[in-house]
Amino acid sequence: MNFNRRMNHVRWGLGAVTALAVLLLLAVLFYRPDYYKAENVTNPAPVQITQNTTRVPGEDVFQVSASIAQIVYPATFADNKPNAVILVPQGDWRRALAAVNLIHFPIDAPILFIKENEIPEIIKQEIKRLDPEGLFVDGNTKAYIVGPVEQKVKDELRGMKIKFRQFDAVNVYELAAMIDQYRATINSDHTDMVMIANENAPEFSIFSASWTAHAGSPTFFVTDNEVPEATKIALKRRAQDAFIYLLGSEDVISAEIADELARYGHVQRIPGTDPFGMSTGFAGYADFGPNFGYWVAKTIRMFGWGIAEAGHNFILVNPAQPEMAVPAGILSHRGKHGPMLLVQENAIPEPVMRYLKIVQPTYLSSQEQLFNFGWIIGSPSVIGEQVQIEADKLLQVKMPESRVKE
Amino acid sequence: MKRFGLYLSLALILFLILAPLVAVKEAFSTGKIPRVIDRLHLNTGNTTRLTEQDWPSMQRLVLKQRYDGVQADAVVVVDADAWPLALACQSFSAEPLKLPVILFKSTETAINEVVTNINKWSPRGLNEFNGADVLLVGENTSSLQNELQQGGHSTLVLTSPDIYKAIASVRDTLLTAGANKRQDLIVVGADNVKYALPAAAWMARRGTPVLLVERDKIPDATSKALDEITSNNIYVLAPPSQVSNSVVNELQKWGQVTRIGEEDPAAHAVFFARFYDETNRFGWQATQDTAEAARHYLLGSVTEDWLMFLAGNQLFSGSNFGPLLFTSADKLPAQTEKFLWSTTPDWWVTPAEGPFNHTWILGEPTQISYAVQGRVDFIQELRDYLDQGDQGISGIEALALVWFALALACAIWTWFHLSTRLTQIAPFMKLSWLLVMLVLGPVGLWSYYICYRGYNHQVALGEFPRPLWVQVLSATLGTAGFGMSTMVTVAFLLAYFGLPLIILQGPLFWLGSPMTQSILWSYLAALAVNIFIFVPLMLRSKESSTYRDTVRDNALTVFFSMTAISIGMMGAMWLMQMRGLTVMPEEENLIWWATVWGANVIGLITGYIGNWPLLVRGRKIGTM
Repeated sequence: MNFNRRMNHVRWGLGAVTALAVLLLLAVLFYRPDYYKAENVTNPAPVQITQNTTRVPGEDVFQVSASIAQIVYPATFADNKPNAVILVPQGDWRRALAAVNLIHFPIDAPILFIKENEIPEIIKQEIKRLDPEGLFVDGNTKAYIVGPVEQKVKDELRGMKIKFRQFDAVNVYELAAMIDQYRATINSDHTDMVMIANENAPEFSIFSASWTAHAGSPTFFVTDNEVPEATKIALKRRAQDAFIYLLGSEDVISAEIADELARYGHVQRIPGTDPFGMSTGFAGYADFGPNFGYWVAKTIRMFGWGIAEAGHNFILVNPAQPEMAVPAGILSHRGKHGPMLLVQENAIPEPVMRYLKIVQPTYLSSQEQLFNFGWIIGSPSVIGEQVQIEADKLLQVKMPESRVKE
Repeated sequence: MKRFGLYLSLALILFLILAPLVAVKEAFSTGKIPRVIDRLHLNTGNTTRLTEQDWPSMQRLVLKQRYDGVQADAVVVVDADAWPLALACQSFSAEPLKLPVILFKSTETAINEVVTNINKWSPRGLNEFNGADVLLVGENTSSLQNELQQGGHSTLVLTSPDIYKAIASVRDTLLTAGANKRQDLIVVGADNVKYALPAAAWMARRGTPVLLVERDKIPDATSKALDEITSNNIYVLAPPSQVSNSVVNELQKWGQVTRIGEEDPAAHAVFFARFYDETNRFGWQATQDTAEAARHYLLGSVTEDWLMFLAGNQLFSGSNFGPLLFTSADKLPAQTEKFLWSTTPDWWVTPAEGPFNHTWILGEPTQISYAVQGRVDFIQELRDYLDQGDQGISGIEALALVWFALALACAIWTWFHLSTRLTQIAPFMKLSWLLVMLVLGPVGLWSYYICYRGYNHQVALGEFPRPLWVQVLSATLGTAGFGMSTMVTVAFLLAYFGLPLIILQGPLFWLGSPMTQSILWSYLAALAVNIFIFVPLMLRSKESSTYRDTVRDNALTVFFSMTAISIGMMGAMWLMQMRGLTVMPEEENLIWWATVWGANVIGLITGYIGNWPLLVRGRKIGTM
């Protein structure tokens, strides 16, 4: 074999390929892909909107979770589709809250509720609409199942050509720890900032979902009077002491438990004595400082929204329906990131009202203005129409009262 | 063996040339879209759709949103058959008057609806309107007069068969009522409503009056109205095809004239949205100068009825306001898309910091497609300043593109030089040099130059007596050419087909992480390829020993050399991808390649340090 002659043959071949690459590179600069292929959208019943709020409708948890996914992922081309979907069998809000830890990047997936024995039609449609791309850091997985399901559900997913990974544990404490370990594997590191919730106090816990989706800090569970073994193990896994934030006053998470948790790191309480006040306390809370590292290479920690100024977004949920509230955490993962606040079906509680007045924008100028915006989670049977109208007034820009002109 | 080596190296070259272009794979496939898209609502994170089919229902929705529970001094009802009047009346909604403006077509249902609305709002009456609580503008509104007066309302009527005169009287009423202390004036052409519409949102915010001109002439009524006021700031919102230059020149008689106009309606609206006259604070100034501000946009289809816009425009007459933009029904015009990209906020510390943009979409999906909405939502999404998100090109990514183009140019040049001037060099050395260009770009070319410069007479011998530091460089590149290209290729393919992930317990859990796995496999592949294929092939012309002996003799050397390169390269890749960037990049992001090319250079540096002792001890040759 004459090697040089062979090289001569490939010379022109290589030249041609390089020329092709250059041409492609140029084409990229001028070529406009078709981002407008999505057509034929159904025309659903109108939902109540106001100038500063949008209602995310849904009568049950399935509808609400699909509705939320539709806010975040229009799915009209590859870049506005999710990487995966998180399927949570309905029935336990703690399971959903543990699953929220899967939302954040690089996973980038919405929570959809299913039943243990089947995937409801509306959720099947939603999975088809979302057409998840597959998660590149985990063998292009397209779905997570968080909790127990019957074989039928898995078969259905296989039938839809959806590659999935299941997380199932004997109890919810282990489930949370298991998902934390999975996320740590992706990042090669455990998040040092964690939250602790009392498993019997959803109203003190659910608003952590928006922070978890935004920042990737997990929530672990304690019971009324002890720290479960799985939670202890999870806390111990951090490379050094954890930064532990307690979701609840001493009535909710006792001083003894706080003391016990202090073995595993630095414990702090999110301020607030009632659930509503604590949701606003969390929204205003910020804890900055050093985190992990040695000598000069220390990373910083930033925990908490720390929002006390205008120009933000708020997710309004009703804690009476914790399973509807939790998937809304994803609204802080993409789009207008912002804290979750609690309201009642027929009223905006006083602490929330006070907080919204603090952060209410005032009129600045025609050219430079800040706006607040709110999501109302669920149909009017969950959060009433009047609450939305009241919230709208609290969110809107305060215009000058007098008739003095600009 | 030789043939396999040749094909493998050709594959690597091809791969390194073509793989970065996967960054634009979306240009060729946007994924599956279901035939029918089922949704429970039509709102997204950064857009709200006002799902109304026609202007009367749009008006119903917007007026309810805007004025329910608001106490107004008076109500303006304007003839919906005369767009200049309907436009001019938008200024009544601005401060200080803040009046609801109702578009009116004289039908029985419309009469009932208007009267019901006015009764509901129970306006107090305005001194400047002679105590009237309803202002009727335009000819057809006379059909309301009786009904209203019977209901105990007092009316003020502004009407004239001459539209120019009618517009002038609206201007007069506005000024009497105390609007527009700044003495701005908008002038629009009478021919085409499209070019006048963008003014509507601004007028509803600031109450600027409007006057109407013909294309080539200032009508008498308008000219008389201009005479009444001096020192105006006149903004002509029309391109030359709508209002000629001679008219613009003539207008200068009455004040400082600025033309704001583009021939394409979408570009025209964008031009006005960007426009700002700082002496007078006129214009939205939606540019980088106001990047700290949040923005609301009102987006309508350019083919849509103007009434739809003006009905929707009332939504922007209060505490929400912002520019009006045009789109086509099924595609964003290039100008509008570019504008939206340019005004999307970046985030610096956290994506929660805001500000956030929001677009209000006028009409049903048949009027503005869902695809347009999806695109608008995507473009307005807050972006990380450093990587500018998917589809955005950040500064780093722009540099990466330039680097890639340079690397291609270096490879082409080197190939020609090798095949014309350095023909005697071993074939696999040549291929190695090509790969060096592709992985190291200009740094590779510089090394090439240093290695062969001034040794023309040595070419025939195939031996180059270089200084020690250049020998080390040459020896490092000998490993790097095939090694780095293999590592990059394997890392890319792993990411493309989905990285392996193994959940492990205990302190070594990170061994199962996708990044560790990627590093491990690409390192092992590079090691194997070098030890078993390329090093024996490159040394073939130098050493006469058998393949087995060559492999055995060099395995340890290659291991050290390759490890030295990997430490820098993989370490840098880890730090950049896992720590430096807020979101770990995917192989289809340009920034992935930016980190890879950056890491290659770091790998060269650590490889150089590692190869020095190998060369000094005679384990490697640096004179080839």
